[in-house]
Amino acid sequence: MPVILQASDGQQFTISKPVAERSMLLKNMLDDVGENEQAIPLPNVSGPILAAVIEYCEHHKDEAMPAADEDDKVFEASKKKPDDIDQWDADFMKQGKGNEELFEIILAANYLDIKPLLDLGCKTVANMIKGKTPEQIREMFNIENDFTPDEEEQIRRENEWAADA
Amino acid sequence: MAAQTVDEKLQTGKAEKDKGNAAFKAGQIPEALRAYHTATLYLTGLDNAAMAAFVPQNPLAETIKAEIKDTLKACYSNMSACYLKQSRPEKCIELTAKVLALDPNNAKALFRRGQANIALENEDAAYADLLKAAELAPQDKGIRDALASAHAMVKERAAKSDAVFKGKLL
Amino acid sequence: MSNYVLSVLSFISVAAAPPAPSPKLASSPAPLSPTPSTLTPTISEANFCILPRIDQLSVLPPDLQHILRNLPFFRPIGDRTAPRIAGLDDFLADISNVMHIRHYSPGDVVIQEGERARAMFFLIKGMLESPIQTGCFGDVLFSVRRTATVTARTKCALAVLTSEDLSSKITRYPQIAEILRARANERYEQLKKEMEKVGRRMEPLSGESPVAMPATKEPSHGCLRELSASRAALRRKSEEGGPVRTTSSPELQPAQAWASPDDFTTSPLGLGEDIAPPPPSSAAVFSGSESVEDFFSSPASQASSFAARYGDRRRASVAVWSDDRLMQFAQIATEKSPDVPMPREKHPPLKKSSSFTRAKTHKPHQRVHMYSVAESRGYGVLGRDLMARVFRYLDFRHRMRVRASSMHILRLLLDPRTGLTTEVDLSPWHKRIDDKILSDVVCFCGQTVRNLSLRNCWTVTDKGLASIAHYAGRGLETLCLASVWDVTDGGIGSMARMCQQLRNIDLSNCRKLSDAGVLGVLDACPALEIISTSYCKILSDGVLAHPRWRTVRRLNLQRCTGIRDKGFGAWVATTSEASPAAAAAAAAGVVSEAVMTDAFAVAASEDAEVPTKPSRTTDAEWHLMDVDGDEDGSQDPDDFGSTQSAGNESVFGSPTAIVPRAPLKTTAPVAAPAPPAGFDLEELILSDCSFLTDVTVAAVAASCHKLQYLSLSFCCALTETFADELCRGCPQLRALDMSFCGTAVTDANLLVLARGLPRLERLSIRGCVQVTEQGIGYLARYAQNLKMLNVSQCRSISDDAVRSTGRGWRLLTCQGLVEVDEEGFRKGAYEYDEGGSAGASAKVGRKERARASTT
Repeated sequence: MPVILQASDGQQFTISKPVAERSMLLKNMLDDVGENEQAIPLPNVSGPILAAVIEYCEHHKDEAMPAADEDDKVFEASKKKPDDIDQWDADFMKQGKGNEELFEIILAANYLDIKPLLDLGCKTVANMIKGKTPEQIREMFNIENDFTPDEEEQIRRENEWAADA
Repeated sequence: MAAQTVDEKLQTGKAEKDKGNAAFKAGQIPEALRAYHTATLYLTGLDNAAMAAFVPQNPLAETIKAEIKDTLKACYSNMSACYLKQSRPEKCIELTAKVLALDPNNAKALFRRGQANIALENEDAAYADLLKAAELAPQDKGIRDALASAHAMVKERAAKSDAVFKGKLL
Repeated sequence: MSNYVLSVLSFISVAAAPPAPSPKLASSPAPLSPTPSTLTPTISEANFCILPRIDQLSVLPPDLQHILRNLPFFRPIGDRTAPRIAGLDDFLADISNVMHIRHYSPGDVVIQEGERARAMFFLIKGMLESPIQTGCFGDVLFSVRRTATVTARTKCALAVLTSEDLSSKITRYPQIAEILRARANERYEQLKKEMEKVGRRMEPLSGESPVAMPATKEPSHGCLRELSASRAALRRKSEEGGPVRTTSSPELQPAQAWASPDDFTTSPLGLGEDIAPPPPSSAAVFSGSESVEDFFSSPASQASSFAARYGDRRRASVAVWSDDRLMQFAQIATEKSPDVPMPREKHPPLKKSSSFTRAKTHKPHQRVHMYSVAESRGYGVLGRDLMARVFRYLDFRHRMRVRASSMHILRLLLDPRTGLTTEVDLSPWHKRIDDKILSDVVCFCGQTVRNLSLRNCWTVTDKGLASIAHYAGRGLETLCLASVWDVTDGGIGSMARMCQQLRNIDLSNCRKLSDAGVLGVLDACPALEIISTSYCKILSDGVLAHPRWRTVRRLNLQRCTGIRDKGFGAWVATTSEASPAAAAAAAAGVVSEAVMTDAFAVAASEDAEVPTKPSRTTDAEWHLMDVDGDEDGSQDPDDFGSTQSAGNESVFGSPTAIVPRAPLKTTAPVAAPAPPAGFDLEELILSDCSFLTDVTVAAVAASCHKLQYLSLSFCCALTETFADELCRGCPQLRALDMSFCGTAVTDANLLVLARGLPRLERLSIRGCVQVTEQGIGYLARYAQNLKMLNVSQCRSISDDAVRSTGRGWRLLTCQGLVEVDEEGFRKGAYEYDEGGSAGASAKVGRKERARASTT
């Protein structure tokens, strides 16, 4: 039975149950509520972003789901390798997507609890961070620079070893 | 349909929660769960800095944040009650954990988790939770009763293992 | 509630998103010579000044100066025609050079009620509003809190000047300072009156001597960590609304037991001189001239005052206050009904939803406004938790770089819950890491560090160790100093004393290390479990005589050629009070027939005694049975023939040959809980210790009954006789590396091992040329648990022979040079949870390959 999702701007999407269940949030809901004609409102995801997320889920719908309580442990994090992104995923993240869309996808993946997509997004962003100056990073994320000039100078000095060779 | 503001989402969330409460009281547990789920769909992700970027930060956001948190807490808490009623103790434990993440000293959540653990025969975990719950809410008879039964379970298990190993040279 | 529309000038020191070049750190004019002690600059108010709206957004400094110049703020009150104040132009030029422009969208919060005022705000374009009723926005002066919240009503552009900038600039303009101070006082009094009229109380001035002043103690390294901590404290206090007090966290205490205190004076943030606490003057921003002069005079004290500024929680802060025109305005307003629109603007009363609606309608397209969030709190659009998640994918170098984005990000990195500074692996950049950089890194990460690797950072010296000890000692659990070869006994010893939690230390290739250093570590670190001293050739027998070895679980002594059999004698002595034979054997250090026989006799009698020990029952029985079964084996229609070497029979001498000895309970493997005898050692690497003999094996077997992995590769002095000892003493053994121990490994011995080590899963007999297919056959038959076998370079074995055992063994290699996954071999035995160091096993692998290539 198909599942109908309604984005914040009213756009509706009809997807199959297995695709919907890539989202743990939706999966839990569907488990509890059973099948129903009613659209599920997703007020915190906009239409275009939801479309992209669905595209991802469709593509990966046959994969195994990650384990339920998989690492949010920080120690596992040391094993994560940001380089092993597969081609389709890499293209998915890039195509026609500016930073805004990228961030919104990450937020949507977080909201919908789609761990692989969230990881993919975070990896992509991490790769984008590399090689950027602090100013560029602030620009990218709209981070407020709350350092004083002295502090900035100190950090810059301390970071000399960490500069790109 | 234009997207809603934070405030509107909060109101919807609360309305759904109320719907859920009504359904629960009427004994319609799946309906209640649906309403609670819907409520969480509106309420989660709102405190995220950028989610809120759709609507700019506002000095009133602090009070709104608190309201969002409270409403979410209520939803999770009631969902855990639903799961208990449906005899799904694992889900109950999941949801009480969410409540406790928001509010570590929530006696009700501890109580429910204790009950769920009793159902799963995790006497020790149940006992620990219920003990804490009893400390937080000493007047509550329900908690005291549950604590007593958890305690009994722990004792029984200890006695059983004694019986098995008694007389054997280990 | 009536609303006030204000055009305001304000300062915020933030770079804005728009592409227009925001004036940030333009060069200031040459500093004037600091003026002597009469200086008491007191700029601490942000002002709301009414200013006509400016339509064009000109934010370049000259324009800004112009704007500022025209502020009533800078003119004497009530006298707009008074001549300009001397130096005003320069002053304005100065401050406009350090001001930042910030943009707000409708509904954004500019000033939050309750916050500590830290900046002055100047509105350049747009309109602001505030809901409070009184006409005065007078949070005034001297680190008081904002008494009202100010939000942007329309899109606004504001210029911001932080109190620090202002304070530093104003020092050069004493006259202006005076004026502003006087102005501020006047305003304060006025404001107080107003507030009291409406029943609100002003914060008292005197209690909050706002001193951007030094704490009496300074961190020896004014590092960013403390900076961020003080910032955090400040913010927290402002949120709580309580007064901000100086606290001295433990981190701020200078190190008492400091090895070489002079080391850090060369850093830009030198040892803090004790700066006298400020005279208790409520009007003072800077307590005295010393600090001001210091700030400009010498780099060291500049640094210390810099550190001082952030070491202390109290700062000069800047508040919001109103101009008199505004007050008049307010008065008019209060006399009217709340809903009457203000003369200037028509606007609905402030309601929650309407402000949102207004905000919403302002946005043509929601998504664009992701970038117009005013107070993203320095974490950016993704928010705190998601940024932490992103950072987990960055290596340490990039994490250090990213901390330059904002103070919030910096603190996020240090939050122990994110664990982003828990693992610090500096080995990829070993060429760049020196003592100074190391010190900066550990100072920053502080006690969040659990695992630190300095592998190959050969320029690090004892100084670096001292900084590790000081900053990170308390939390450190794993430390890899492999190939940091300049460290000495002293450095390591004193570091170890500060690292009480240390569990795992890798001192491979620390060539200067002698017994004293290692013993020092053993003395100091009660939790030590894993230690590697491979290639520390100075180490001698004495290093093994320490009670801590009983609790060590993994030990790597590869190529520690200074250690001989005698050293291990100490282990046996610790283990057993009895067993004179075994002790004698170990202590003798001489391999002799007699001793060997004794040892065997001892072993045999152990066997006989064994039935009384339940844990050994099966093994003993098995032994006994097998002696009988030997004959059966020989009649077995195996491919391997039935010849047994003579040596074998002597091993399996008559089971009843009991040699009366003192009870040897303690040397028998005991599975009883908490043996007073018996080491905890699970893994021991003795590879390349070519001087060790069977005596050592005997000693190890006599003491380390929990041993699971043993490497004796290249221990060429071993003979066949080691096997029995090993089997008796270490029945738990799961992996054994006998590579290139040609003399010791024969077919017969393989039989002993196969039978004697029931748990054996991995075996390497690489390069053991005496082994033939018969030996392989024994393994196939008796080594039930064997999963991994390395028989490379065993000339007498063919691939077919191995395959035909039908055991389906993994990692089966024959002939030629092979890449052996040493680490896999070693680690396969059991789970590892090592942090940074890969141990010396990787080295073993490489060396093996290197050696093998020459054969």
